[in-house]
Amino acid sequence: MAPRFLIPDRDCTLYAPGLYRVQSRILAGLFLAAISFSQGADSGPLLTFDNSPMGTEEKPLVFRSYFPNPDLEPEVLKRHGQGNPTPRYSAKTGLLSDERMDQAIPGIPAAIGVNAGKTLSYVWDTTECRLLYAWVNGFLDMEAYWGEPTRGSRKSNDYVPRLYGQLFYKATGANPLRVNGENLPEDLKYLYHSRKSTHPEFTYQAGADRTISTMVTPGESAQTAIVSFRSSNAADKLSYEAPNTAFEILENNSGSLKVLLRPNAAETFTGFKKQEVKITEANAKAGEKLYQMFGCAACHTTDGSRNHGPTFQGLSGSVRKFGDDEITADSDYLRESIREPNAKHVPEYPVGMMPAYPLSEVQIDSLVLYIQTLK
Amino acid sequence: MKSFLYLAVIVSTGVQWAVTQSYEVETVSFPENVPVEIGAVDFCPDGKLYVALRRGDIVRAEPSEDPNAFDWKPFASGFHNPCGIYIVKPGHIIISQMAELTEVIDTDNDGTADIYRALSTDFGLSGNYHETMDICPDGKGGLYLAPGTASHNGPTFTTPRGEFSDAGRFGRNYSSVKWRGWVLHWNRENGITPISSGYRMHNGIERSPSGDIWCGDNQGDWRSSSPVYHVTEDSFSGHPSSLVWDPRFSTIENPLHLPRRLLDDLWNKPAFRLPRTMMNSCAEPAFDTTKGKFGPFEGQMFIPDQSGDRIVRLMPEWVDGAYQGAATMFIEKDGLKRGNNRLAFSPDGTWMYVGQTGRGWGALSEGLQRIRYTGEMPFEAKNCELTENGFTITFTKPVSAAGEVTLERFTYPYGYTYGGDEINKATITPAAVEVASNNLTLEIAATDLLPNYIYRFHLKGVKSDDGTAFANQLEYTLNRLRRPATAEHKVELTAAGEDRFRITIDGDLFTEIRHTGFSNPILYPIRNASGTELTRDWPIREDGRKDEQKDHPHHKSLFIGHESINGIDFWHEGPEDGTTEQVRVIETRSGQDRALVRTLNHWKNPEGNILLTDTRTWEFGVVNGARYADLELNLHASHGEVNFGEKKDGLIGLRTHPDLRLKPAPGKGVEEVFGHAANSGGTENAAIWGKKADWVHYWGKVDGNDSGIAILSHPENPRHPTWWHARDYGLVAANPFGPKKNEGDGELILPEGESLTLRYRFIFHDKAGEDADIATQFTTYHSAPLFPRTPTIPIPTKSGEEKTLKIPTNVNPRGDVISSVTRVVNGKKADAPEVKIHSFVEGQRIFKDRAYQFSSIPDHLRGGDLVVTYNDDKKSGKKANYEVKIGQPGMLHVLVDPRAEKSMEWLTSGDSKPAFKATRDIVKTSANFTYKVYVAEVDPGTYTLGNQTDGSFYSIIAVTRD
Repeated sequence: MAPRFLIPDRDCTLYAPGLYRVQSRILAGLFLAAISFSQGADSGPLLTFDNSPMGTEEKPLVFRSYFPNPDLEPEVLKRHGQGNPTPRYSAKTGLLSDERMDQAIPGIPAAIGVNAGKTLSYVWDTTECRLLYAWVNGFLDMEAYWGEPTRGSRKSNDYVPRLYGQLFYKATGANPLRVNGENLPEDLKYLYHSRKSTHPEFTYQAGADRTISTMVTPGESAQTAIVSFRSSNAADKLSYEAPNTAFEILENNSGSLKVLLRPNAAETFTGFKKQEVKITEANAKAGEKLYQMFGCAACHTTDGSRNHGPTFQGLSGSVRKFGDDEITADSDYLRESIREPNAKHVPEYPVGMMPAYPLSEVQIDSLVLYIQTLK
Repeated sequence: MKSFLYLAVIVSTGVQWAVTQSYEVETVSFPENVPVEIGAVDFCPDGKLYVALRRGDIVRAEPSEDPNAFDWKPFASGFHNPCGIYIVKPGHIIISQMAELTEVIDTDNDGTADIYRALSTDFGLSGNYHETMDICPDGKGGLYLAPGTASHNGPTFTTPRGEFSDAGRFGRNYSSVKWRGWVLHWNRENGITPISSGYRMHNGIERSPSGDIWCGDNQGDWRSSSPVYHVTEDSFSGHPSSLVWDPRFSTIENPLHLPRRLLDDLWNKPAFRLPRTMMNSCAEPAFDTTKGKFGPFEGQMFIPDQSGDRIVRLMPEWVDGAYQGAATMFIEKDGLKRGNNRLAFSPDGTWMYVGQTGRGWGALSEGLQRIRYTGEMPFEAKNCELTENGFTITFTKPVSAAGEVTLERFTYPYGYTYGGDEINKATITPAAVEVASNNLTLEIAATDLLPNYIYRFHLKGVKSDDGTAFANQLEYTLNRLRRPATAEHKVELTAAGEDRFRITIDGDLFTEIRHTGFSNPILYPIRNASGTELTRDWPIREDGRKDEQKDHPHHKSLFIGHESINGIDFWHEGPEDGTTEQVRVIETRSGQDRALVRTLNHWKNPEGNILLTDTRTWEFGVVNGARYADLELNLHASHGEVNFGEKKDGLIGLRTHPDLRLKPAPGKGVEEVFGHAANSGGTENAAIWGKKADWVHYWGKVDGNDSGIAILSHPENPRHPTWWHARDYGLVAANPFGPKKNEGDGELILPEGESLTLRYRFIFHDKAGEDADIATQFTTYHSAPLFPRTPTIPIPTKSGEEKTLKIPTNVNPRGDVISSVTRVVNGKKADAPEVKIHSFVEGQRIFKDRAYQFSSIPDHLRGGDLVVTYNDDKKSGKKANYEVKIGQPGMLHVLVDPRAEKSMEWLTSGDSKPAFKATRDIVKTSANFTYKVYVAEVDPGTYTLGNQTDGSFYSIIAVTRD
């Protein structure tokens, strides 16, 4: 689902994230009376099938996931490992390819994302112990990770949420905080975060005898953020140095520092773009795209190797055994197996694992044509 | 909203599936629109149920009688795929999420957590979706962690957390960042400590009431079926990717290409191997501690199927130093949904809660269900135990009839392919089946049980006294046979300090394995049953005995080394020489009629680089009245090709007590000797040097007492009978790499990825010469059955052709009948077909020019010789014959496709030479045909098999004549 730019008004109802959809609003309205669910005094609502979870300024949503990497400088992620491309492994032959590589993709593995409604979203990283980037007018589109909203079924293999909204800040260079004029030590270690205040505060070890706490809050003007630092050592003099960043020191007391970050980036993100395969006439190429798009590959290989479901290689025209019955996998059989996956169950595979996919005739025909190419 | 109550289902045949009448399942409601994707469930001692939802929320409720009236309240939020929970106390929990082990506390007691503390981030995260983690308590305030591996269905990030290993990234499921595929221990004092490696996806780890740690794993690569492991320290559970994080394997270029025998030896076998008919993906186990409230299975283990609608019940028992046991279905369908991921018993023991999730695995199946015992006693196997000569099965109700009971034995292949079929199947008809006097227990006697197999019971004829037929599956994973309960001797092996194992027999010292402190692990001292020390003291004891000659300081009691391995000398111990270092204790067994220890050792050059590895097992006991030490030495070309040079100084060396020398050394401390020597060929004394023999025996008075040492080489050893490097000054060594000029076999090259197995028995006796009867000892030694090896899938090679299995060790060899085969095409000699001795086994290639394999072979043919024929010779215009030279009397078989029978009159007419007859045997193949089998009795000689033409093709095999 591509996210809408209508921002949900999360604090007024129980299941607000879904309510901006008219259909959901009606359904939720019907159920509201029947639900015995009650919330604690200041407990946030639960995540739902809505793929665009949001918080509010009064109750920010603290959220952990993989996060996208909006092309951050390597220096910013220097405490991360280096994920190399490696020769592609064939699960069928057990061999490594001489030509093809398994590429590594961009992504942040261990960060915390926070959304405070329209005014601020940001990603703070527990590995680098710093703010990585911030944006407004939206948060995350989870479809690539969570799948279609109502089904909860995996549809994609990248598992990286997409941003939506306007990105206005990206970290640059080394960690900007200075303590008594010195750079932070190399071995920063994230310790905990507290949700005692409205906004979460992140605390990390910075050397043997010091912890630093950081809180990020919306600035007063649009597309700004305030980063507050506290040191466990009240005598520390904190300062801030960030190349290519417009910032302003709001407060600088002994042991604390408040910095206003102004925009240093301007990028618009629109969430997850679902691949559309428009087919006028059934064809194998379209079938291959559908195979990728619907996640068939998660269970059915095309190289003959074993997986949760039968391989597609050599399937067409082969003789399938069901007890004493033998059935040739012709196009009728393939069609039936897509429409009603459990009508005939190949004994050695799990029963009922495959859902019936809501496909049109032309889509099914395309898939069948594709399967028939896999000799 | 509605909940569902599922009651008894009567199967149409009239057979009641008793369990379903005895248990009922209902579904617990959640707030509408909340995805009930359950990563973890657990009860707090205050009775509240905590549930971790995989999108990140932790909710809790006071369970109510009405499954629709749970007052779910959020407790904590913002977790990345939380799949493990441990409840410290009300309002204080620990959650494992993708990147972190997180402590969550409600410090202000307002009902929701406010502190989220990272207890550990010291494990990597690659960015792959599959790296979830479960946890369980250690019983002492710490936890065990089970960080899962990545899947090839998903990528890794350019910026993973932690160090990235290219070699760890290879494979179907892989460990590209630290500790993926390991079990870790965590506590506040020490943080993370790695415990055990080799897991694929141990989605579910749990501590038993007795304090044992258990986890399941999923069928997949290196997992022919779903295993369940008892997690022990420094164990390896068979999936090789995680080895890249083991410092002992850090220089391996590709863990997936380690020698198969090395992996099999390193692999601490699972306590249970659950077939696909029971399990697809093991999730989190739970233990019945309900004292009968949940039915008759107190203390047993339940394990849910994450990709099935079923829960399996496990009955572990302790056999010869490890857990193994029987598995049966607890519940299947009958209202239970798929995706069964986590189990938790309610504190009062009434309910088993089942958390389900299906996200990421095809059809949607998720929710929270609970199961209750109705009080109606089911007719089930309450327990199943291995005895010394069979099994006992105890039922929940009295048994009125046993009917016909059969057992099926099978095993699985081990390798990189996904899942695996049941192979090496055999049906066993028990020698006796009796209902015991308690009317509950079935006693099954089966004399020919083999270890390292799974046994499936067929018990359809078993009926309870109310007429219910037993209708469940029951299988026993038999890794180890039960040792005799009443043994004459008790052999113990214990670690004594950091540097040695101490072996005692009935409390008296036999020997010590001194594994640290020398250039290789040695055995010293070695005593016979009278307490006489039989090997040299010096230089281990610096002063040594008086009367010892201080020569050859590397001859240390009993030692292993060779003068040239890849040019490095491992026999001597100079600064330029190699060393052998024990790096892992794979297992020890102690306290029964024998004790053993299996270790992993590195052979290093002087720079410290590993040239090869070995896995060696020392077993100790008493045989025919004498103490023995058995060595199985598996040398592995794990780090590249290994060249064992043609040198006299090698390989298994022993230096006797000076009294057993054949010759004194006047003036050098040895004035008088008492030794005699003979070999199995009758050669005596100094003349045994350089001769080949089955065994060598040294005997005489040692310190005035009758004593002797014999070394026996196992007939299965390559190059048996071995060459002996046996000197008159007390050195005796079995050397398979002896020089050719002295009648040895010369160098041996072990290609990368291959292993060499050598077995020797040492006898240490206290008898006078001939009374030791070494010939009988040798017969005893070689007639004892060898442990059946796990069938392994060979290391793949670029050409796509699997390396030839030289002699498979996992089957009974029935071949060595065919000496050679010549192929004649159109009257001219053509490429000779390969003859594979003892290699007619499932998985073998049928033809030189096709990839088809044999898939099912009758037991009495498996292990025969196989001729790899040419399918394409069937083409028209070609006429091919095979001239088969038979070396031993045997049964020659021709396998034919029945469709081609009509064009093979030479075979079917019955007047061929030899005369073939059709049998009822069939051999199945991976191709679209099934072979029919013809047989003929043959004596040594050459036989020409008829024309392969007109579309006909066939295979040739031979087995020995019974």
